[in-house]
Amino acid sequence: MRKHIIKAVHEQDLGELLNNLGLSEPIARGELRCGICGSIVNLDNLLCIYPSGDEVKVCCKNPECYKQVLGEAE
Amino acid sequence: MGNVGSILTWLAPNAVWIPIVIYLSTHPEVAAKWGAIFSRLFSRISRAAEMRSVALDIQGRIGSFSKSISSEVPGIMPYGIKIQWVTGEVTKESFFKDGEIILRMNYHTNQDENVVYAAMEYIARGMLSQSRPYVDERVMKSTDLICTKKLIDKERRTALQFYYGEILSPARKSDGELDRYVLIMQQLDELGYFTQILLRELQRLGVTMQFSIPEEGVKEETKQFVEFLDEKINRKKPGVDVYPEFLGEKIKTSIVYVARAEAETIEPHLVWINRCVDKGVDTIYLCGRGYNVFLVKDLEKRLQSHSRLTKVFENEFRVSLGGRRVNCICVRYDVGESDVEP
Repeated sequence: MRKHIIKAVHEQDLGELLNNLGLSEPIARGELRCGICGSIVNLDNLLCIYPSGDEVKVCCKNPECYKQVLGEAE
Repeated sequence: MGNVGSILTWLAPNAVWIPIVIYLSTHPEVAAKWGAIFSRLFSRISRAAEMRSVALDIQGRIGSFSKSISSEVPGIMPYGIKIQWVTGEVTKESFFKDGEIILRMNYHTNQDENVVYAAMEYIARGMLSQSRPYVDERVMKSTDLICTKKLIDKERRTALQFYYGEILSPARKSDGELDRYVLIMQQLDELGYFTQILLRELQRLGVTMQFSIPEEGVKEETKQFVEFLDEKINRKKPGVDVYPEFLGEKIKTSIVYVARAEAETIEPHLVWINRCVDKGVDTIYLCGRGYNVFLVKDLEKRLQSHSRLTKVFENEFRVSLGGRRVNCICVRYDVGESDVEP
């Protein structure tokens, strides 16, 4: 049976991933914004990271934003 | 004799394990759930065990739901699920090359949240994947919301509070029309027809459309179909409108309520079914509750020899009506082409 792959990062690896993707400093400075609603994303409300064109974007925990990201990725 | 003896000696202690191993290898979702429990024991001392515990738990729960709903609506969730961990080694280049969303997962102590977000992603991308382009956006969203609710209700009840508070309620509040569809589908689900009829027809639509270009007319039809189900099933009064039918461009179906008042003989039902076949419906659902389940079975026997009807499924289930559990049945027939030249 084919499997739908969900890529995930565990909390314990999140810091390193953000660092590698160049997101640690913007998040620490409070400059990182949700790619959908534009609200400020911090370590508490970060839900997912996704590519959009040549940008690395993040999505907050707002379910509407998450659904839109999922829709774009379909 | 010595050989037989040694085989028996080997088999005796393994007699318990062999069926367990066979069972787990044929039920990977159960194996995953047990694997998660086992891994959790070591999660405090092992980073790998913590991650395995989170991933296997999600794979087990979603896999189990997927299996159960696929047994009712074959093909609705054609994919299994796998959580693939991304570690800190990801670079920008590999991230863009993969082009995938990376979902953040918490420690297993926050597993309710993990399950909810993983379920949302799995359902939005893995359920009815062939039909999705042809379904109205709000109908699809509300279908996803109700299916996610069903999954969580069945597999991780403790996460329901989080799901209602953080996902379902905000979605309903943000869009009045979506809220209406969610309520319609919730009511259909309580009566057992969300899975039996709506999901089956949406699934069939994807197969019928065969990857053709999505048109607004088809999407509009899915909305009208949901309205039809609301009017003819949710708001149905006893004895009234026992033969509702929906004759759209792509969805053509008839629902036959087999009820005692109409079924002193089952002849009227047979006459109606033949009329539907001649009118060109693609599917016919026979539905009955309580005592009428037996009448549906009688009707089925009479339809066995029908040249144009193929029974696709029969499902008996129980619903709560007025505080008591009632047996129900839903049987679907596909209508074949006529042999007679026009």
